[in-house]
Amino acid sequence: MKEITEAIRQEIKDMIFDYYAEECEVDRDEITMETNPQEELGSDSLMFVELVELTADKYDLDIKLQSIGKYMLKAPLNTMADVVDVFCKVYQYGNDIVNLSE
Amino acid sequence: MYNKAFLFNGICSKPEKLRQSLSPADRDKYDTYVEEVFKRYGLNPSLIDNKKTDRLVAGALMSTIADRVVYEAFREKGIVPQIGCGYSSGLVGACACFSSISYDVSYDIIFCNRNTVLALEQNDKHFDMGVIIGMDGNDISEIIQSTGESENVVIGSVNSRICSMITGREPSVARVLEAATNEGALKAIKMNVGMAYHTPLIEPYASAYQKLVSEVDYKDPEYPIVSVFTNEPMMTAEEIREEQIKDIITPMRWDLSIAKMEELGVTEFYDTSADGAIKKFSRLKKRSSKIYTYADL
Repeated sequence: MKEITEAIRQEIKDMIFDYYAEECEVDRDEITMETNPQEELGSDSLMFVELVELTADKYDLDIKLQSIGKYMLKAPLNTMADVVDVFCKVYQYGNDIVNLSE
Repeated sequence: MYNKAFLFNGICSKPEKLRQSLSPADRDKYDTYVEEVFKRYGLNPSLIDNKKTDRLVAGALMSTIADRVVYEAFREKGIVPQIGCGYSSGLVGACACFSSISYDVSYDIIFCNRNTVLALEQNDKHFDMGVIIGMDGNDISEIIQSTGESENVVIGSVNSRICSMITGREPSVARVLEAATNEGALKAIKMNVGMAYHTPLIEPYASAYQKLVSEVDYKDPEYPIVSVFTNEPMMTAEEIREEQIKDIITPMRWDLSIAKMEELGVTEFYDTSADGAIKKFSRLKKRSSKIYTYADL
């Protein structure tokens, strides 16, 4: 497991919020940790994949989408807080995210 | 060598929403085309108000008309294609925009799919398609094998390394989608279209469509169109006709078609789907390549 600092956590959150604001064409200030990305922002799975690819490039991670998919069966993404949490876990655990419980 | 490629979409999942993506001027143009075409075939521009058997072709006509409007918008901006490719029934739109057939004939071909829908209904056959996101084609093939559904479901198109379309018998498609979800697909959704394009399973019910296409007077396209089956550029009327006959009964490789165009030098792709659907499900290999959408205009 890789350590994650508060600064990295914040950087990941900013990256995610900026990405959704741009892709969903909403004001960044309108997005909160409680926002539902699908219902309130109109995001979709292909956008999520692109975000995974951006994150993998940025932090030089080797991550299989299926590992994230299996984890998400246990921890669905209902809010932006869930999205930030899953990306922090991807950063920390890589493909071992699949072995985490919710 | 080619630099600019135009990509034409097939049937989109929410055709009635395409209109909203257009500018007011293009929306007027779209409405004019829809009114004229739908009147000719006795269809209602409100999808839900059509008979169930007509909804699929009505939606496909809307998609083809929206592609035409976006194509014309790109052309009005001075963007000239050098090559193109059509996803599924997007081939029909590509043929019309590249002057291989007239627009009226392209609508006739799309409308002829109604015969396939009716043939399925008369024979009590239940087919469907689905989309799987977050898995590559090899993983999906393994799932089809492991669920024992390889005679009933095929990959209709590998769109990219992260997105594929499956097609086949209705209950089997549902079983494969469920297995894909359990194996970690980020999304595995049934399209609920009551049709299974890009599988040989549909061939016994597609004779009217194939007869019509075989009788169409194709011309050499103004620009080459890349085959989604051989992934090679087609330049002649006869190649286009053969592609069109194969279109609904043969699995396609969209990913390889895109890769081929990049290999041929294309760096600028223009997505003619009003909602930017092609850009979403396609993936480019070169960082210098880009897919432009209507929203970029």
